[in-house]
Amino acid sequence: MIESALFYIFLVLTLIFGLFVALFRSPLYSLLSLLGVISCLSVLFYFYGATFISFVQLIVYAGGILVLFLFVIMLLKLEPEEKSGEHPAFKVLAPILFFAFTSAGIGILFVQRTEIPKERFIMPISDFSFKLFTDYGLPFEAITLLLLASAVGAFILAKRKI
Amino acid sequence: MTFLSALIIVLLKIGIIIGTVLTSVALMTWVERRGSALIQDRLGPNRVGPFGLLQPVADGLKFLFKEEIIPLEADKFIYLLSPLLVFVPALAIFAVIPFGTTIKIFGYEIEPLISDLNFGILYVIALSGLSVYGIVLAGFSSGSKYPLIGALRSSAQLISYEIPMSLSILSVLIAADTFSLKGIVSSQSGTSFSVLPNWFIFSQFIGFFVFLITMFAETNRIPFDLPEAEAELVSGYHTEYGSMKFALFFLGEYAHMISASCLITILFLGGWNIPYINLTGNLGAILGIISFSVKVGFFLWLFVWVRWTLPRFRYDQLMALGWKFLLPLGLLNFIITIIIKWGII
Repeated sequence: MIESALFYIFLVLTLIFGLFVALFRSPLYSLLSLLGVISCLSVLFYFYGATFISFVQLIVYAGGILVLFLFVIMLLKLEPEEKSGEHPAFKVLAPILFFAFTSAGIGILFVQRTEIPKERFIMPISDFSFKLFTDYGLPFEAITLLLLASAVGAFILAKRKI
Repeated sequence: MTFLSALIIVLLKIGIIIGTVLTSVALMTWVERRGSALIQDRLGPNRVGPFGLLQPVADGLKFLFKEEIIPLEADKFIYLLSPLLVFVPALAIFAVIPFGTTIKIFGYEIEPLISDLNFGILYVIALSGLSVYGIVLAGFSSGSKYPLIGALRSSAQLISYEIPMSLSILSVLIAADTFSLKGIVSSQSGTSFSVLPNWFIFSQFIGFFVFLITMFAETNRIPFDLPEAEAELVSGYHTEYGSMKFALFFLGEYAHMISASCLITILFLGGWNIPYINLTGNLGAILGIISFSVKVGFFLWLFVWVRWTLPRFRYDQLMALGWKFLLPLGLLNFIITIIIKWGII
């Protein structure tokens, strides 16, 4: 009872923070909202029994990647965006696209009707890692290659500028 | 156990643990000032109450009654938010720290920890990662140059030292075969070769060394207190903060120190275990909590002792120590642990 109430509260919070990410004009506030989205998502993962993912979400995204974003904002002194640069077509297109995507998302939610599981099943860490390195070994290695490629790419891009 | 009694017990535990932590924080500020006086052959604060023990209360009252000042250049919302972002994670770590074995009171079996999380150590790492935000945002939102430089230094330092810290924690996890803090403590009970206690400080000596140093860096204490180097930066990221907002930074730093000492005790000194004594029943539980407190108290004193003994590092020395010395050492320890654990050779 309490759990499902909490689940829905965090669900709504995630959506609100997500809206804030897009709506704030100051990049710093957008980043703080993104932090809120990530924290709420990690709570939602926890309710689904994906304990490991929920903590990794916090460690990797909140503790690592967002701090880098924060550094970029701090060091480049990004100012809040000006209104004037917008093309007039965007003023018509943006609301239409927004309502199309949100209604599609809500529609999918109603069709699928996912519910929080009654009994939370928490996979032991040993089973989890066994699956990760056997059944899902190939995708896992592919993702590491992808990350390596992006790291090398970033290095080359940065080098060319100097 | 009904739902209501379980709820009451959990709330009581939270109250007791937070109360204890905040009291020890107050006590630590007193120990710090009297300890520094002892080391420098002075008396220290001794006017308020017996031995000056009520000095923290007087300090707290002073902070509460100070004028609230918000700088003109500051971003008001973030400026007010960041002390909380420092204080809350520092306090939230205590939710998973186990203080002892089960106690029986009025027929209820009570464990002296709030939540026995399966992934307790991941929770600790996640929270210590989040504690960067408070400091960075404090420096950034103050709208002044010294806090900004302090915040940059501090975040670079915290991120660099988190890597060797995680490596030494990983080695302990491999040695203990569990992610739960309670499991890590119970895997250190008993003795090896019937002489040495089974604590990881002996089998993971390099890991202990690395972890201890990174803990000094993570709590921003001397010799790693560059973020608030008074001589260059006035007082770093909290230069523009006054009254209770500054007090929250202060409380957060000391709470962080206590949680760091608890973690060292749990990971490397066997938590509540006492060598050669098998703790059972209520007496054992009380002895266990006392042993835990003694170990934590020793590390807290070590923090004070080092602060008033060593000078501060230069910034490049700090980064070199982190990346060129602690990181390879942590990796080496990690590899050695794996080799010994699974007998690869």
